Amino acid sequence: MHYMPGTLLREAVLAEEFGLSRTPIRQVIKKLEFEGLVVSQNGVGTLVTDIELEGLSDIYEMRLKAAELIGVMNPVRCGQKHLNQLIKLRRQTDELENIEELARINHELHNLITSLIGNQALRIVYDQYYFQTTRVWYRLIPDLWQQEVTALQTEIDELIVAARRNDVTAIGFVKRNFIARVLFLIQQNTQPQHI
Amino acid sequence: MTLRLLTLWPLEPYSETPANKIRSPVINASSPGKSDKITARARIDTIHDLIRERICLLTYAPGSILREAQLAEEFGCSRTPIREAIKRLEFENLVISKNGVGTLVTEADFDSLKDVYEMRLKVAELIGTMSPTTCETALVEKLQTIRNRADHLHTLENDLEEMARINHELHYLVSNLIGNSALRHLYNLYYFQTIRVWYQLMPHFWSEEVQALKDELDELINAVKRNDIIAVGYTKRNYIARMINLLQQIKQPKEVEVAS
Repeated sequence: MHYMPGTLLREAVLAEEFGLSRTPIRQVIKKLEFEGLVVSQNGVGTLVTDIELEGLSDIYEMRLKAAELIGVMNPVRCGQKHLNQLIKLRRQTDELENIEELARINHELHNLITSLIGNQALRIVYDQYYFQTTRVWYRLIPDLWQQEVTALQTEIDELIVAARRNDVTAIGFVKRNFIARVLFLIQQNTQPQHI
Repeated sequence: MTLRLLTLWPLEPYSETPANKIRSPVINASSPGKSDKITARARIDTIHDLIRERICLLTYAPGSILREAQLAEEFGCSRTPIREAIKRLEFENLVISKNGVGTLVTEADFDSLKDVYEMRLKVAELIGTMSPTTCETALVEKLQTIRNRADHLHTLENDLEEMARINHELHYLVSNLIGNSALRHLYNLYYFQTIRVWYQLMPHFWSEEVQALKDELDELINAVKRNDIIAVGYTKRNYIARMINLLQQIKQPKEVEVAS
C-alpha cells in the first residue's frame, strides 16, 4: 500500500523512476484500470481506487473457488525447491516487525502458490483476484497485528506439511481456508459501520 | 474448411455488472464532469461490445487488421474511445497489436485454448451454487422461442448464421442467471474467447450439432421449469464437454492424413 486509495499516479514521474518512455507506463496503467485498481478521470488523472468490501464480496467468493481448483487442474509438481522456499518464508515470519514485511512475505507466498497452478487460465484469474482483494486485508492488520502474524505462520506451517507430501490439492484447500478466514474477519469488522 | 462470414445482428439487451464495482474516490462526489464520464464509459462499452460481436461471428476473420481511423469514422467518434475499446479486446485476447503492423484479430485454435476450455467446464459447474435459486417466469418462454427457431434449421449453407444467433442468445439467457458478478464475468469472457472454435465443427458435424442444440434446449427448459439452476449449469457443462470431445476428434483424422 505504497500508493494509498485516492493517490494520483503520475505518468511522467513513473516513467522517470523506471527509466522508460511514457508509452509503456500508459499501457501498464490501462491494464491496472482494467483490473479495477486505478481509475482515470478527465481533468484529474489516474487515481488509485477506494477499497470496498461491497463490490469485492463476489470476487472473494470466486477466489475461494479458484483456490479449490488449484490441485485438481493439472498442477505443477511441488518439489524440494518449493518446500525450501516455504521454510524460508516461515523463518522470516519469526522476525516480523512491520506491515511492509508482512505484506512482502504474503506476496512472495502468493507468487509461490501461483507458480504451482498448471492451467494458464486459472493462473491468470487466481492472480488477478489476489491483486483485487489483498488491500482489504492489509487495512485490517494494524488493529489485529499479533493475531494476523500468527495466522500467517499457521498457514505456512500447514502449507509446509502439504508440500512435504507433494499434495497440491491440500495446498489449494489450505489457501481456500485462509482466504475464507480473512473474508470472515472483514465481514465482522465492516458490520458495525453499516449499523 | 471454409468459414462463411456472418453479418452483424442487433444485440440482445444485455448488461454486465463489472466484476470490480470499485468506486473511485472522486466519482462519488457530485462533480460536474460526472455525467460526461459515464457517457464516455458507456460509449466505449458499446463500441467494445460491437467489435467483439463482429470478431466472434467472424465478420472480422482471424488475422484481419482493425483500423482505428476507419472504425472512428463508422461510429462517428474520435479515435480515443476506439483505442480504449481495442485495448480491452487485447486484454481479452481477441486482438493483438503488433509493432509496425497494427491491431490484428487473433487466431482461434483449439490447442491454444485448451486451458480456457477446461476452466469453462468448471465455471459452468459453479453456476448453480453461486446464483439465486429461482428463475424469472419469462425465461421458459424465451427458451421455448429459440427452441422453436431451432426446428427451422436445415442446411449449413443457409442456416449457419441463424444457428450461431440461437447459440449466442442462449448464452446470454444462461449468463444473466448467474448471481455472482465475478463468475458471470468469467463465464462471458471464456465464451467469447472460445466461441470461434465452435464454428470449426459446423462443416464436419452440422446435423449432429443442430440435434445437440435442440436436445440441450429441451434439457434447459426442463431444468428452468423446476427452478433447478444447478441442473442448468450441469447441462451447459456437459454440452461444453461434448464439444471439446468433438474438437479433439476433428483433430485426429488430420494427424492420420499427415502420417500416411
